[in-house]
Amino acid sequence: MSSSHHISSAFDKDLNEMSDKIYDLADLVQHQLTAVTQSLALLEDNGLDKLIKRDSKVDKLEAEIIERAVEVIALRAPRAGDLRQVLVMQKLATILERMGDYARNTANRTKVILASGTDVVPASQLEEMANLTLEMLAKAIKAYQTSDGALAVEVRNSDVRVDEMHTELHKLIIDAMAQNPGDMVTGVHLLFIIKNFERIGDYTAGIAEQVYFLSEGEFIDEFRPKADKTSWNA
Amino acid sequence: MFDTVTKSPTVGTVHSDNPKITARNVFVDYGEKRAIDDVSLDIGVGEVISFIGPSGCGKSTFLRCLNRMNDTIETCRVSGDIRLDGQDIYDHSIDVVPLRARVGIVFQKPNPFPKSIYDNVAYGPRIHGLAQNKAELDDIVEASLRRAGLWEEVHTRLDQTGTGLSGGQQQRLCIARAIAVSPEVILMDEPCSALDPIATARIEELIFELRGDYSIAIVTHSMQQAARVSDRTAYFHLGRLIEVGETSAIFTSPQHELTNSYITGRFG
Repeated sequence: MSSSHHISSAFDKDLNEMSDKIYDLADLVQHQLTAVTQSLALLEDNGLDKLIKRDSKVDKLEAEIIERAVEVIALRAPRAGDLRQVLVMQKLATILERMGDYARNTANRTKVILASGTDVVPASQLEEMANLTLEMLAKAIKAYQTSDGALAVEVRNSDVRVDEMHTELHKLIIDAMAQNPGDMVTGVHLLFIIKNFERIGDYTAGIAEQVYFLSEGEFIDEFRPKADKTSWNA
Repeated sequence: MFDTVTKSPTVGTVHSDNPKITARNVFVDYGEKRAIDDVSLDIGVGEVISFIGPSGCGKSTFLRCLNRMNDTIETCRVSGDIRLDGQDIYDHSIDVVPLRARVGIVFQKPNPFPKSIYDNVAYGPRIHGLAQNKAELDDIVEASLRRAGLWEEVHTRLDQTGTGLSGGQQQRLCIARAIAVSPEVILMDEPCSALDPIATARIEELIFELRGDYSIAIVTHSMQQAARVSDRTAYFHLGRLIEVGETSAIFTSPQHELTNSYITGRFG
């Protein structure tokens, strides 16, 4: 009686191509974040310049997805689930591009830290926080692939742990800066890096909220738990 | 497939808090063929409701039940309960002429009378005795043409034939003709399907301006039109009312799979 395919096969083609680009963008951003996390964890430059250069591919993919979304809206007038899909893909592209910016910014800061030769970097804690955000992102993309609203809610609510880790690391770095004023520059860059990952956690929660909207046809209206206390702990 | 559809109740709220028309358990048969199968639906005071669905789904048949236009078809049998302000419109005591003045209809193809623009609009008020004298009739004609957004275009040539107007103007003339007898409900059966986009936009703007003053039910094959003009949308399929709801909800998050498949272009 009903079909997963449109009468217009070109409409299916448009949506599939957009979706493929979202997966390409998500893969690329995850690769960027994984690469910078490895450099941070090992305190080694594992191709940070290449990573920084690759961010232009992230930007290009985002632009292609948004351009395609505008075309689909103008030419196909999508409705219901199709409309949500196009809107969500457009939003995801913007969010993922912003995450790519954070990966590039973290790479730049990591280069400065590595050049300073400092050894006061809490590498294992940074790796743990970064990996947590990467796991969240992987789950969010999986929720998108499977249109799984329940998994999206789980991902969204797990951001509270990233907030907690940000608060802990923030205090740790501030204390280290107080004890080693000579590493002040490194400390400032580390504060920005952990803030970057905290924001990546927020953006991942944003992806999860979009997936929920895609799956359920309505926005999550409950308050998202937050635990970033750096604003008043500092 | 038909059995599956008939067993499922209508999704959404068929009731209106302030109904102008109430239809309950309506069946329509053309000879042996069932065209409307147990449809219940209210049309609220001052609301615009769109009927959508694939060809042959019964949306026009149901629309025409609301002012007994189906009476003219010999093989057509209507059963169930349809009330206008609580009064059974299929009661034997009901005179269909005043009923059709209260529940006017505009058809797919503009059908002005082969008379002057003035006489097209004045025809209804004359036969219903709505004007005491020529001055009153003039006022009704002008007010109706203004309400239909046509006055500025035709006031200098009211004596010219209505059939000489453009398609869009003719359709607005037909709407003015319906308005002239002070209806409470206006039924529109694909009123823009023969019009170009500009004329269509004018009719849609007119529908927007008339909302609140009249209850309007519109049959349309254009989903964009249903989305643009109506407060509620009702989706028909194989003679059944599958789903009804706020237009924004129907076009963003339809609840029934058949509605979703139709409005997203997965079958037609």
